[in-house]
Amino acid sequence: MEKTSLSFNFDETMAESYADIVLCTALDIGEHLLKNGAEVSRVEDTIERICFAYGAAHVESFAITTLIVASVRMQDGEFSEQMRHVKTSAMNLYRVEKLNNISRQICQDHITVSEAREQIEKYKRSKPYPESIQIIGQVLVVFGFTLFFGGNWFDSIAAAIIALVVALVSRIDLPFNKGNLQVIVRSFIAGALSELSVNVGLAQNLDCVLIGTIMMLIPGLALGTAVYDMFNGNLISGMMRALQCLVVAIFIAIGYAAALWLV
Amino acid sequence: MEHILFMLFAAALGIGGYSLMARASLRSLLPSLFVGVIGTGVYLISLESGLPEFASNLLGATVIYIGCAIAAKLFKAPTTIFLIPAQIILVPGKYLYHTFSHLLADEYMLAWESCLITFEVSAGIACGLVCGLIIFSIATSIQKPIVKLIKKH
Repeated sequence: MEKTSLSFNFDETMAESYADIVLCTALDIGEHLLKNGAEVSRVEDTIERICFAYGAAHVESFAITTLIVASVRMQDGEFSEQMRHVKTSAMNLYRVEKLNNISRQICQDHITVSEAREQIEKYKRSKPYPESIQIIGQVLVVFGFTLFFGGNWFDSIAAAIIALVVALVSRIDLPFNKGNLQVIVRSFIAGALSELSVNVGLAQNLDCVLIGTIMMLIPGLALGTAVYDMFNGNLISGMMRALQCLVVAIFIAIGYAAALWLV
Repeated sequence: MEHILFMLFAAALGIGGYSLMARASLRSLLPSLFVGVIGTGVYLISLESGLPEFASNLLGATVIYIGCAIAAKLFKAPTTIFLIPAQIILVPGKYLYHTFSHLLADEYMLAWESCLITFEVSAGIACGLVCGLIIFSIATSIQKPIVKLIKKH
């Protein structure tokens, strides 16, 4: 197998066999799919398809929301087993689409492992448009949801301004701006500004502004996915997602409660 | 009717914005916006006609899943990238908010009621997605032999 000029050096990691390289490539795609918002069943299916496309005789893969374990046995008897701890990151549907395309190319166009790895490297940090467009998206979400949940134009404009502030603050690189603490900080800012906007007369319905701003933070979609996973037989993933939602929802409540008590 | 049209406009803004927020490609933005607005329309009309939250969400989610599965076939992309933005409007964020606001106000019975509605809506969405999946699978399995037959003759 030819050496690639990529950041992942197979020789250094002692991953020299073809089975190791094939499984590593499949797991790379699976890991980034899971990180960026793909469902668990797609990740397992993609890993299996890729390994079979590269000549595997037998593949087993198991994924939950934070872990992927897979093993492959090639036709010559070569065997490899690997696992990945998947850390959560922001949803990026563009990467899901592109990584799925690579998997499609591997299975249909039979591109080589090196070509596949080059494409993975290219797309795993790619963005479809600049950050500013994403911020505009966040503002639009809050504006639209505030209107949808019964707010008037003034409430929606106030909520949109709050969304803009929250989006800008969450992009500042500060120690408290990471992980679950970030959720509390963002909720606190959104709650405090919502209360202030009603106090100064910019908005009229506090409930609508709060619901609008909460929609950009809430893991409601993950709650739906959790129930869907459970219905599909992926009980562990479903339970984990539901628990994650509950934890995030509690952090949001802490942030909002603190803001409403203090302001 | 005007009220529903206004809600659909608001939903379109929310869905479009969420697509950008979730970094969906511009290629997938329009189909998910279209499917999401139709699904929201079905949900709103069901609610207006007196159906409960569970049934309204189930119908809305079913339509959204079928629409997204068709878009996925047409664009040769995963269903998820259309589904996530399209179904965001059905997400029970409002009821989750009410659950916590009642909890903070020490209104435990009301909080419990809102909590139950949150799960009812989530279950409605999940059942809708499963129904959509079943309907789409049946439709594609019927379609293949029919197309073969037509090509033969």
